[in-house]
Amino acid sequence: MDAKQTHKAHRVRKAGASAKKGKKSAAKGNPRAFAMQSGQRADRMARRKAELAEKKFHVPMADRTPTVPAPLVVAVVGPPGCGKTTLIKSLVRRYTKNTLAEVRGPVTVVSGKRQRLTFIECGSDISAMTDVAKVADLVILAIDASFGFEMETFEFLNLLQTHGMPRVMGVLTHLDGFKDNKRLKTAKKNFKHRFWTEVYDGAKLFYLSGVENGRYLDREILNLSRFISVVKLRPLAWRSTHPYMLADRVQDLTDPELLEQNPKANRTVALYGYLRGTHVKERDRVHIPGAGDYQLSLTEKLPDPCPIPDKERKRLDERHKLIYAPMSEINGVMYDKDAVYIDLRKTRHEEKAQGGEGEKMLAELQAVAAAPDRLAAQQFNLFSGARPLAAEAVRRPAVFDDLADPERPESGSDSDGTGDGTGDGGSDEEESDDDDGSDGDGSEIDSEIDSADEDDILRRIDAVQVDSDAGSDSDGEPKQRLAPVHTGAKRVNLMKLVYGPARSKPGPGDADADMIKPPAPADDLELDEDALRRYFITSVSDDEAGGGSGGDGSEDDEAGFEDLEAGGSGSGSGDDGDDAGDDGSENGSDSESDSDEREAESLGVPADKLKKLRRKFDRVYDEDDEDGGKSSFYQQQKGELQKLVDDTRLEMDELAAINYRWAGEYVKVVIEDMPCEFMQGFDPSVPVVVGGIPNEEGLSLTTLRIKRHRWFPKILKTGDPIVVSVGWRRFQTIPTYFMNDRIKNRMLKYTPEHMHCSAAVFCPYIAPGSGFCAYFLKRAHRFGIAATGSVLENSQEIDIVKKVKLTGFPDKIHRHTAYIKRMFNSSLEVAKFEGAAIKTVSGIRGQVKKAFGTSGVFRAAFEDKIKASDIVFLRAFHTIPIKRFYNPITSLLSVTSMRTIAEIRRAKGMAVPNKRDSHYRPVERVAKRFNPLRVPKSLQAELPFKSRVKHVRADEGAPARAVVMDKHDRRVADLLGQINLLHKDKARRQREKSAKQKAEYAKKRAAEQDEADARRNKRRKAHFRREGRNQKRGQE
Amino acid sequence: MSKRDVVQYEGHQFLKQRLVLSVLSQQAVRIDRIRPDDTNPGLRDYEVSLLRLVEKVTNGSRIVISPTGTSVVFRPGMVTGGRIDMDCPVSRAIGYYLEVLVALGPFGKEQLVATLRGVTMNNVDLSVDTVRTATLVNYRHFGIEEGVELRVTKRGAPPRGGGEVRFICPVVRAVKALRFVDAGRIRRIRGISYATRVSPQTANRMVEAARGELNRFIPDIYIYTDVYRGAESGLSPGFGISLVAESTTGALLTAELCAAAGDAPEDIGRGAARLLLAEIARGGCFDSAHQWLALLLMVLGPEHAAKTRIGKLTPFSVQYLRDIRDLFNTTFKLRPDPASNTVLVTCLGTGYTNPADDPRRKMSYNQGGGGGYRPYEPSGGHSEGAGGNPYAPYLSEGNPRSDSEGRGASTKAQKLRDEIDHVVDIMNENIQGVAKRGQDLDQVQDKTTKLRDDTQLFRRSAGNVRKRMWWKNMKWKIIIGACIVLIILAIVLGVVYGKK
Repeated sequence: MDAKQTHKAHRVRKAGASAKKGKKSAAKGNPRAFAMQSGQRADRMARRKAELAEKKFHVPMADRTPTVPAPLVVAVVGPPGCGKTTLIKSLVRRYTKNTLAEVRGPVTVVSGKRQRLTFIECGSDISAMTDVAKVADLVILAIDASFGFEMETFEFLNLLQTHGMPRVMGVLTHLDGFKDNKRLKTAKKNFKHRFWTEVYDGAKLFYLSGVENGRYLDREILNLSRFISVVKLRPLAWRSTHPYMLADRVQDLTDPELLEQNPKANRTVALYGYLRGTHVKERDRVHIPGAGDYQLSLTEKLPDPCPIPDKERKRLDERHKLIYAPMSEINGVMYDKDAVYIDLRKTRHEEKAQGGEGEKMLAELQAVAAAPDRLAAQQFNLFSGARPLAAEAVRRPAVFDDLADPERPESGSDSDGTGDGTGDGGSDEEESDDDDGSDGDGSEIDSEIDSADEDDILRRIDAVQVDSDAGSDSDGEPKQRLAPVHTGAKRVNLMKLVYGPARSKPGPGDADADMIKPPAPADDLELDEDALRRYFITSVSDDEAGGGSGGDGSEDDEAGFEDLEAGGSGSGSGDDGDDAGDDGSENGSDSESDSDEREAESLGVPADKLKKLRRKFDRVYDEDDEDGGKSSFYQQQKGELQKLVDDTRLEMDELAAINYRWAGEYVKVVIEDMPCEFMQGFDPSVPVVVGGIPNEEGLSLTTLRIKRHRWFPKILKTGDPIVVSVGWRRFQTIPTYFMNDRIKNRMLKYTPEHMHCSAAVFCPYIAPGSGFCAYFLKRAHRFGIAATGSVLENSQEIDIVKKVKLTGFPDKIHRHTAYIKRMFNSSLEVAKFEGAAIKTVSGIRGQVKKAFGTSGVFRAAFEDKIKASDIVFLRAFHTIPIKRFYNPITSLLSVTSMRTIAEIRRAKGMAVPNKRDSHYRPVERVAKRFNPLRVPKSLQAELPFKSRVKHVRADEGAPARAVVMDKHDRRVADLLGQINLLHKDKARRQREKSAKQKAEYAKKRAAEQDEADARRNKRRKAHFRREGRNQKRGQE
Repeated sequence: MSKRDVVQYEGHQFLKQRLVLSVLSQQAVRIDRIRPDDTNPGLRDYEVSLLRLVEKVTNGSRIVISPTGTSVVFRPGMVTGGRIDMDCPVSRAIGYYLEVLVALGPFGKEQLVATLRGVTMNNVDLSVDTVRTATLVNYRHFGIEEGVELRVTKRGAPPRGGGEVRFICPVVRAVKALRFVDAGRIRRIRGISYATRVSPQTANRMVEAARGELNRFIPDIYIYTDVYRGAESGLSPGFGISLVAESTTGALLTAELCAAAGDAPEDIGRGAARLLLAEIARGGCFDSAHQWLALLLMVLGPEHAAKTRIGKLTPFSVQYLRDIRDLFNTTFKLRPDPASNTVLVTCLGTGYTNPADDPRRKMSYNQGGGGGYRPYEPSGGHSEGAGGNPYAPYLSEGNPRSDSEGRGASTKAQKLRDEIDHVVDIMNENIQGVAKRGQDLDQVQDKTTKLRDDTQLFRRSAGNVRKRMWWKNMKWKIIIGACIVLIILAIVLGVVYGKK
C-alpha cells in the first residue's frame, strides 16, 4: 500500500456569494494595495467600463409575452438517422409517462407548473428547415457523433441566424459507437469546440451516451429537460410584431357533397394551434409558407387542450401532465364542433393484438361517421323531370355564420345579466327617443348634413349620447344598479351604428361629404353657457364630480395606474369607478400603509409582500429618473414601452369583444379556397405555419443587401432564379445584382466573391431591416445556402444601369475637328447624343457636335488633333429593366419553379451555344515600324547644345576595311581558326551527350511516375469504395 | 393562394380618404357610380387633380378612369415624396389637397416639399391656417415633430384664388402609439384673422367681435391679424378667421369661418367664435375636423392599443371608420362616455412601418431645423400686426407632452448645438482673419511693385535729365570751342594770306 491515496481536491468557488466574500476581504485586509495607483490607468479602466456598459444597450423592444404564454416551440433538428425521434420520445416520456409510437407533427406537453413545450421534429428538407427556423423558440440540434457534423446542421444554423437567432442547444448522439474511452473524450472535445465556434462560446452541448428500451438514458434526459425548463428567451423583432401559429391539427371542413362532385374542388381547411406573436382577427391576411397568401374567414378561440394547472401548486400533479398531439394519434377523447375524436389510449401494436369487441365497434362507428352526411347529401327524383328532392333542405346549419357574428358573445353576456330585457330592447326605444333628443342638441348637425342616410346615422349617434346623459341624470337608482349592462348595450349600439350591416349609400347630389369640418351658419347655434364654462381652465373646480371631460379622464388614468401598482391584479375596467373613489379618499391624510393594508385585503396578498412590491415598483419607475444620465433615458424609454404593453393588456377584454384573438390562446382558423393538393398530399411531419402579414402584400422592387455565403462554392449570377426566404415567405425570384458607386447603381453580372452587394428582387413588401437567406431550389452543391443578407428598402423602381461603349472611327480629320463614322446609323441617333463626351484611345477628349449627312456620320470637336488610326469611344449607361418575377414556393402543394438556364440546358441535353465571336483568338500584334526621326536643320540650329544631334564619328559603324595579312599574321589567324573549330566541335559533342542523358532520365522518370500513378489510383479507389460504404451505412 | 380582391365603392363622396387608405394599405380600390345621374356626370376637376396629386406623390400608382368618368380603378403605388408643384383648381381650397399630403407625407421615401397654388381658404375645406396651427401640431402626438413646415407665401381668396403654400413634411419610420385620453380644460385661445385685398381694418374688426364672444370664458386670447397686400394677396378680395383653443393637456380644438360676398367682419368674427364654443362643447382630444387624422394614425401605429377621446363622431368619421375597416381590416372599439358626452376610441395598431425606409440613413431623420414645429413662426416674408410680433411661438412653452418626453434630450442637444455654433463662429473668424491677412499681403506686394516701377521710372527720368543737362553743358563748351577754333583759324589764315 505504498501508493498514496488521492483525495478530491478542494474546488474554490468562482461565482456566488462565497466567492464574493473572499474577494472583499482581500481588499479589506490591505486597503492600500487596492488603492488607485495611476490616474491614467484609472481613467482607462473607467473608459473601458463605460464602453462595456454602452455595448449592453439595445434599442428597447416591447415584450409582448402574454401572461399565459403559448407553449415553447422546441424544434429537434438534424439529418436523418441521428436520433431526433428517439430524443422526442424520450423527452415526452420524461414529461408525461407516455410512450409515443411515432412522432408526427407537433407534440405539446405540460412540462412544469408554468411551462408547456411543443416538440417538433425537422428533417433535412430545406423548406421544412426554413419554416421551423422561423417559429422555433428553442432549437435542439441533434448531431450523430459516429458520423460527425453534417451540412444540414450548418445550413440550419444559417437559417436561424438570418431569421432572428433563437436559443440553440446541441445533442450528441450515437456516442456508444466509441469503444475507446480516450477517443471518445477527444471526439467530444472536438465536437464541443466546433459547436462553440458556430453558435457561441459556452453553448450547451449534451452527450447522450446510449439507447435503452428505445430511449436515451433517463439520467441524461433528465439533465437535458432541466436545461430546457430554465431557458430564457428574448423577444425577436419579427416574431413580436407579427402573429403566427404552428398548426398542430389540420381538418378538412369541405362539404363532402362538393367533394363528391368535384374531388379537385378547393377545400375549406381548419387549422388549429396556439397563437403566438401579436393578435389576429377575422379577415386578416396570412401567409402559409409553402401554400401562399390567404384570408382567415374565421378565427375562433377554443379551450386550451393542454392547459397549465389553474391553481398555483408546489409541484405538477400527475393528472396535469397532459400531452396533446392530434397528428400523432395519441390519447383521449376530444370533442369539438366539427368532430368527436375517440382514441383508445393504446399504441398501435397493442391495438392490433387485442382489439376487443367494443373497441372494434367504436372503430367501425368512426369509420361510418361520415355516412349520415353522405345520406343527407343524396337526392332523388320522384318523377322524371321533376325537381330533385334532397334529404335536407338546408344543407349546413349556419354554424360559422353564427359564430362569425361579432355580436354573439356580447348578447350572450347580456343574457347572463339581470337587466337584459331593458338592455336589448333599448335599441328600438332609443331610436324612437331620438326625435325628441335631436331637437335640442342635434339640431346643429341636422343642418350640416347632406344625404338623408347620414343624417339618420348621426341623429342616432347623437341620440345615444343624449340618451345616456338623460339616463344617468333622471332615472337615478335602478339604472345605476344596472349601469354596466346598460353601457354595454349602448356600446353595442354605437358599434352597430358605425359597423352594422345597414350601410348608408351615398345620396345623390353633388354636395360633398368630403367636408371634414362642420361648416355652419353660426348664428342659430344655441350654446349653454354654464355648461360651456366648465370646459375652461377658468372655471371653479368644484364641479369635477359633475364630470368635465378632463377631470374624468384623469381619474380614469389614475385608476388604471393604481391597478398596475397593485401588482397587476387586473381588476379590470369594470370597477373603475370604485377605484377612482378609493383614490379620492386616499388623497388626503390617510396613511399609505393603511390603504396598503386595505388593498392587500382586497387582493388577498400579504401586506408586507405588497409593500415590497410597491417599493420595487417605486424603485423601477421613480428613482431611476433622479440619477440622470443615459441609463435613466434608457430606462424611461423602456418604461414607456412597457406601459404601452400594459395598457394594451388592460384593453384586451374590450378588444376581444370585436373578435381579436390574442397570443397564447388556442385558436382555430378557417381558410377557404385552399387548393385540394394541400389536403391530398398532407404530411403531418412537415410543419404548417400560419404567419400574419399586416401591410405586407403589395408587390414592389425590394433592395437587398446580399453577400454570397463563404461556403457556397460559386458566385451568383444576375438572372439566375434563386429562392429567397424572408419574413414568413419563401419565394423564387430573379435577382439583379448591383453596386452603388455614389452616383449610379451599376449592374453586376456576378456577385463579388467576398463582399456585400445589393440585389433588386421583385417581391411583396418586407419591413426594412429583416434578414433573409437565399438558396437554390435544387441543391447542386454540398452546402445549400447561397447567400444571406438583409432588406434595405422597398420601392417601385430602381434605376440600375450597365455600361455601353459605342465605338467609331475618324472619317476625316481637320485640326481640332473630326468627322466620326460608324458610331451611329442615322442622324436621328446622333441628335440624341449631341453634346455627349467622347474620347479616343489615346485619351484625347472631345464632344459630339452635330450630325453630318444622314448616314450617322457626325462632326466632333476634340481638344487636340486626333489620328486617323484612333478609335473614338462614347461611354454611356443604359438602364436595364428588372425582371418582375415572383413565385412563392408552394412546397405544401406542388412545386413549379423556374429553372436556371444551365438547368434547362442540362435537362434538354443542349450544348452551350458556341458563338464565333466568343472564341479567344491568338492576338496578332504587328510590329509597328516608325519612320526615323528627322529634325529639320533650322530647328536643330535653335536647340540647346544638350539636345542637339551630335556629329557621329566617321569610322563608327563603317564597314571593316580589307586587311592584307603578312605571313605571320596569316599563320596566327589559321591557328586561331583551328582552335576555335576544335572548341566548337567539343562543345557540340558535349551537348549531344547531355541531351541523350536527359532523354534517358526523362524516360526513367516517366516510368516511375506511371507506376506511382497506378498505385495512387488503386489507393483512391479503395478509399472511395470505403467512403461510399460508410455513407450508405450512415444514411441507413 | 387567394388574391386580394379589389375593394369596391360607390359614389363620389369620400374619394380622398379612400385614396389615402388605399395607398397606405396597398389595396386596390374601384369606385363606381360617380355622379351617374348628374347633368354633368363623372369626376369633377378637383377630383381629377386629387388623383393627379396622389399619382405625383406616389410611384407606380395606376389610375384608370372610365371614358364617362363615372368609375375609377386605383391601384396604389408607394409614397415617394420629393418635390411637388401643383396648381389646384379653385373649386376646392388647398386644404382639400393638403389633407392627402398630411396623411401620406410622413410615409414617403424622401422628404416631401410640396408647393400648392390655389385658394387658401373657403368654407368647405380646412384653411391653410388651421392646417398650420392645428393639424400639423397634432402630428406631435404621433412622434412626428421636427422638420414639419407649412409656409403661406401668398393668400388667395375665392373665387379666383392665387394663393400659394409650401408644405414640408419629414419622413418617419413608424408613428408612435397614441394614448391620449385626458382632454383637459381649455387654457387659452389663439387665432389668425386674415384679410387680403380689403381694408386692413377688417381683420381688427373680426378680432374684436371674436373676443367679444370668447372673453366671457377665458381672458387668455390672442388673435393675430394678418393682412396681405400687393403680390402676396392673391387675385380676389376676402377675409376670414381661424381660431384654435388649446387645452391643458395639449388638445387643440379649432373653428374657422371665411367671409362670403357681403358678409360683415363682425358677423364672421362672432360666428367663428361661436363655432369654436360649439366645438369646445363637443369635447374630446381631437376636434371634429381632426378626428380622421387621429383615427388614421392610430391604425398606422405599432401593435399596441391606441386610445383617445373624441367628441361626437361626425358622419365623415363614421365613414372613415368603415373605410378603415374595409381596407385595413381594423375595427375600432367605440365606447360612449356618458359622463362627458364623448366617445372613447380604442384600436390596435397595424404596426405600419414605412416600406421605403432604408435603415442605412437612420440617423439622418429629423435633423432639419432646430426645435419642434412652431405654428406661429413667421410664415411669409411678411409681418404686420396689431402689436409686437404677431407670430409669437405659443405652443412650445408649457406643453406637457413635449415636457415629459424630450426635455432632457432637447437641452442636451441644445447644449451641443450651442457648442457647435461656437466652434463654427471661431472657425469663421479664423477664416476671415486668414482672408484678411492674404489681402494685406496682396496690398503690400502691390505697393512694392508700384514702388519698384516708380523707382525705375525715376531712374530713367533722372538719367534723361542728366543726359540733357550734360548735353546742354556740352553744347556751350562746343560752341565756345568752335568759336575759338574759328578765331584761331581766321588769325592763322589771315597771317598766312597776309604774308603772301
